Amino acid sequence: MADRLVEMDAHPRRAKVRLRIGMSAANEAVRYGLPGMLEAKTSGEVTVLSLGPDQWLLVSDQLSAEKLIAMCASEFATVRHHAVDVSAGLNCATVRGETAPALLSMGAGIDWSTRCTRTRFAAVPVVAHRHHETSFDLYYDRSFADYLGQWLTHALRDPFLNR
Amino acid sequence: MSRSGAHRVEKGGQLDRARKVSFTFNGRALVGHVGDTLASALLANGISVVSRSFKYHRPRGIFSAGVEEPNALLRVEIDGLAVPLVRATLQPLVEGMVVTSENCFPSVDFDLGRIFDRVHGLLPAGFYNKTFKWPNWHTYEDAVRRMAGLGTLPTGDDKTSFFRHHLRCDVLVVGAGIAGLAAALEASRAGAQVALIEQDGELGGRALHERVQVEGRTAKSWIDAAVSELARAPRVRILKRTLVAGYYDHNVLTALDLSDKEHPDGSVQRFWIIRAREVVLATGAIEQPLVFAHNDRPGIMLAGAMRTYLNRYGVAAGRRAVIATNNDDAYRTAFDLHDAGIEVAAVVDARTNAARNIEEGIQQRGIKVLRSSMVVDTRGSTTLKAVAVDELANDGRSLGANRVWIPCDALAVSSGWNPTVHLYSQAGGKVRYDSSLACILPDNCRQRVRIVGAANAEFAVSSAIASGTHAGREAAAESRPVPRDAGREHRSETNGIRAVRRAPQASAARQWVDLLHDVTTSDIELAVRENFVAVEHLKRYTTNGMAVDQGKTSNLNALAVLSDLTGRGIETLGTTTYRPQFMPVTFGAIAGGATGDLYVPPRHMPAHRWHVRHGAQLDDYGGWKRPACYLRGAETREAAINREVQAVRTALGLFEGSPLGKIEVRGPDAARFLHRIYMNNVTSLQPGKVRYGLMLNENGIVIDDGVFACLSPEHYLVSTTGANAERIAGWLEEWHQCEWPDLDLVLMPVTTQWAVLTLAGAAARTLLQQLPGDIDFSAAAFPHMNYREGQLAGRRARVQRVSFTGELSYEISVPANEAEAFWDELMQRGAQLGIAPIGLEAWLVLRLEKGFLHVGSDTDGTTNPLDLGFGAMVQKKAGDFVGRRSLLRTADQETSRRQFVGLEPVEAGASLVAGAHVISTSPKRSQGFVTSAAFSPTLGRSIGLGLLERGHARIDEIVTVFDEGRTLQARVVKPAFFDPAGERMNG
Repeated sequence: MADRLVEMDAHPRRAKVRLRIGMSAANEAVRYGLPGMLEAKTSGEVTVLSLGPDQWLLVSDQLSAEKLIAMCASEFATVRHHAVDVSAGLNCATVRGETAPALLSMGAGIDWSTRCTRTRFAAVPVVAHRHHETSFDLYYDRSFADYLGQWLTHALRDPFLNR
Repeated sequence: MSRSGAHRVEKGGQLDRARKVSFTFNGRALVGHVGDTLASALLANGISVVSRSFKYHRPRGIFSAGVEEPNALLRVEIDGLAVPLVRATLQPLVEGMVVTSENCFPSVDFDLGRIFDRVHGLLPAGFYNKTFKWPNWHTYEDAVRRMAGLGTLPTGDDKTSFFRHHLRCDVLVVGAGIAGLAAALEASRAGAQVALIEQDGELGGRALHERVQVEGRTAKSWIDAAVSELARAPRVRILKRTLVAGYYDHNVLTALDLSDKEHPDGSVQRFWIIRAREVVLATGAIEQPLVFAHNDRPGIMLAGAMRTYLNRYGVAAGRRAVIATNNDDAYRTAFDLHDAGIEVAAVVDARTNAARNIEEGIQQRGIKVLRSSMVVDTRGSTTLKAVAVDELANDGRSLGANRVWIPCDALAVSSGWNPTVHLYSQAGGKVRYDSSLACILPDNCRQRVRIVGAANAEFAVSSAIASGTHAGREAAAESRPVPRDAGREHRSETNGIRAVRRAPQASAARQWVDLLHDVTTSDIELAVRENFVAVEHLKRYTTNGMAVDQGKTSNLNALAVLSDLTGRGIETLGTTTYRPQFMPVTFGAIAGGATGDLYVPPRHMPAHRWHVRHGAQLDDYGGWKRPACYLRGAETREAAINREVQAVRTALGLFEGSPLGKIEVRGPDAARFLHRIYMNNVTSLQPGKVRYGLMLNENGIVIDDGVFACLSPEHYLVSTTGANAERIAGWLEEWHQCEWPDLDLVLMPVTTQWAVLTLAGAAARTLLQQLPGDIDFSAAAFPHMNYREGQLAGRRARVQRVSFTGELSYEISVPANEAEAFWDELMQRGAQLGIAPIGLEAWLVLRLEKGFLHVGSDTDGTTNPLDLGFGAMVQKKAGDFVGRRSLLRTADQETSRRQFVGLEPVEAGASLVAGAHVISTSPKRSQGFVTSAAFSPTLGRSIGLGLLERGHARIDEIVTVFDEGRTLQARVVKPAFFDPAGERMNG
């Protein structure tokens, strides 16, 4: 089971766009339909993850990054914002299965029941998105892919995960 | 019925007697059973001496059955790895384990170190401070250090796998005795997320091996029902054989999990970091020994431990036992031994009478009780032969004249149970000595922690259940106040203790207080005579409680002796501080898996795999694994670097600079923001243009450099040095968010989105013009210090014409996931132009030849832009910028400061070394140092850069450079060694 628990680059074609809204408008983000802190929101073909009070990550398996940026331009036409394509810089690992929370708890002491959070997982900055209790996406900087793969391989050897 | 060892009783115990386990002890083959600890197996085999004491090398036997063990700290080898100081009392017996004694030569039974016991009069506490000082301590240090210490570090390859886990819960219950189980049950029933952690491999605590009734049924039946309910509860996690060792602020606790230490696939240790909303400590209590002459002989054991060995492991500690006590609890040992058919020669009780039910038990069994008496001495050597008993006067301070020797081979001792308040104290909890209960009690704590059961001196089963249940319920209900001394109302039984712990001394025979560190009452007397009467001073003077066991069976007795000697009540003395770890935790466990390749996360560049495939020598540069150079065949590293430098100077080089920091700044105030951040003019930069810039901190010190490009009037791209990418991004955020929130802009780091592949060399333009795309690379259309973006070889590209090498150069950014393919394409298309991949070392030589600054190498925490020769740039800057005010200080403008210069050796063939100092000969002192140096293959000689006092005014001066005892003469020159006019990069 353990070796099927993790897929390191699960969605190589997934479009990822990082959106940042000017500080003056960020307080009204919810008015624009953006999820609040530690939240994620899926609407149609786009999932928006909260990264901070003025930052979000838009991901989509169907729409291109250019399309997502265009949507932002349209949606936030009157708001100071900047949306950039980060698809090439961020990888997405999926962690799924009954032992997923236990495995993830080896990397960070956060509350993994949170819907969406930024943290350091195994000393690497990640954005964690919980789909449900045993299914997570971890967005991480591609430069850490080899290290994170090694780290997870080591962690998966812990017999505790197979109890 | 199978028996392993002469001391194994016919029946009883909770062992799997059908399964035997073989092991060796000091070379002797022995057999135990599944379920044995190493200690119980040794006892069962009649092993009386297991170790030699730390200082006097006295023979010592197993003293306890738990974490408090001061004697049975043994070297245990499993699967080729020998680990020192393993507590035999906690180590499960493992097939094939090889066990040896520590601190003895040639053997534990005949130890030459025993000589120290013969001359013990010369070795009182602190003797080394008084004797080893002529001529000085270091004369003796080596020999003393070799003799001191216990055990030796393992030398074999540690195959243990270490893992770290985090755990969050509503209620953490530490200890799964009756009180802990009751608390966990109640918290679970209330719906809380509960973690229950137990140091033993079985849940139940002491009740597992006590003949007690719990709520009207046997303890085992009650425990089984509780464990079964907890196992079914969906929100309860149970960790067995896991020792909570540290308690920190914010209810963060750490624990060492040894449940898979003997895992068939290899030893595993797990380190848990636990964050709990509420904590319930049910950590039990540790029985304390009595102090009397020769109380350290093998065969003397804590009374509760003797009971544990009998009831849990089916082991009789001896054939004829004496019980010495000052409380009711030890009578249980007498009764259990008697009922198991072991002769109880006498119970020696310091009191006049016991509780009624105890008295009834004595009468029923006909056990002889010597009242108002104490054991005052013992006989024996490697085994116990007899104990001397004398009557105690009413004041407890003097003896009668009727000393009686009682032959026996086992002596159970008890001066009552002391709550295990270590974790409570670590949490910040205050503890106090309670004279009526004669033990140290938890008092109050600023953290959300409740302490129950024996850990709160609630020794009766009913009290433990009541307090555990109450605490579990309260902890599960959020935000209930934690009352001071939470369990006071549950204390219904005091064991009737009489606080006489030390037998009056009738002779000069030594009375041990700390068995592990060989601290005796005479050591404490000496400390008091020398006025070390504060507990912390006493501890350090005598080393009482400073050994591996941290004084779990000695601290309270030391306080009692100190109290006797000073006439001050124990309650006024205070206690020493309990600090993590409660029990030794291996460094490996704390590190978790973060060792070797996993110690620090290395970052790989987008074309990493290409580099690896093509002979790249990878080194660490600012957290990134980057090619230092690419070796061809049997080429040396130096040859490769020189070849790569020449490739760039004569043809074409391709270099990956992806770690270069990239931050987009967008908004109407973007230019104004960057104008304040950079030392250079920004607002005058036109779209499509690039400018070199320096960033200073508030003190005017250079912190980073790089180029910035104007993509459009409200859109800028900032480049930072690779190692500073995240730091500068944070720096910009701080200025924007904290100092200038009114500026309308958005910052966006995009470092790893874009790979940076740099083409450098005269043929760079030729190659780029061969690629399909919509960017015009002609010299006229795309001059130096310009930016273009568009399609290049079928991919989106951002191109900056900038140069770090002094050659015609283009930094091409493409999406990171396309970098490897693009690199490969450039290498293939550039083959006819003589393209070569370039490593970072050659890159740094190229910039050194050009005299370009490398922030961090050529600057330190004192370098300002004036030192670097950027004074004119500062002068030309319009408006304010970070650090400007500091540059106006006289000290920052002094010409005597260390200034940036070039250096070249006068003598042909001589080499400069980075770090070498430029010295004045009279007086001899440093005037600066070489910051960068290398052999220049282009120039055919060594060159360097440096920071030199008054450097700018000393061009052409010959200076002396000193390096590790060697000096050479060097000429001070302007930094640019190659193409100072910049014709090549501007061409």
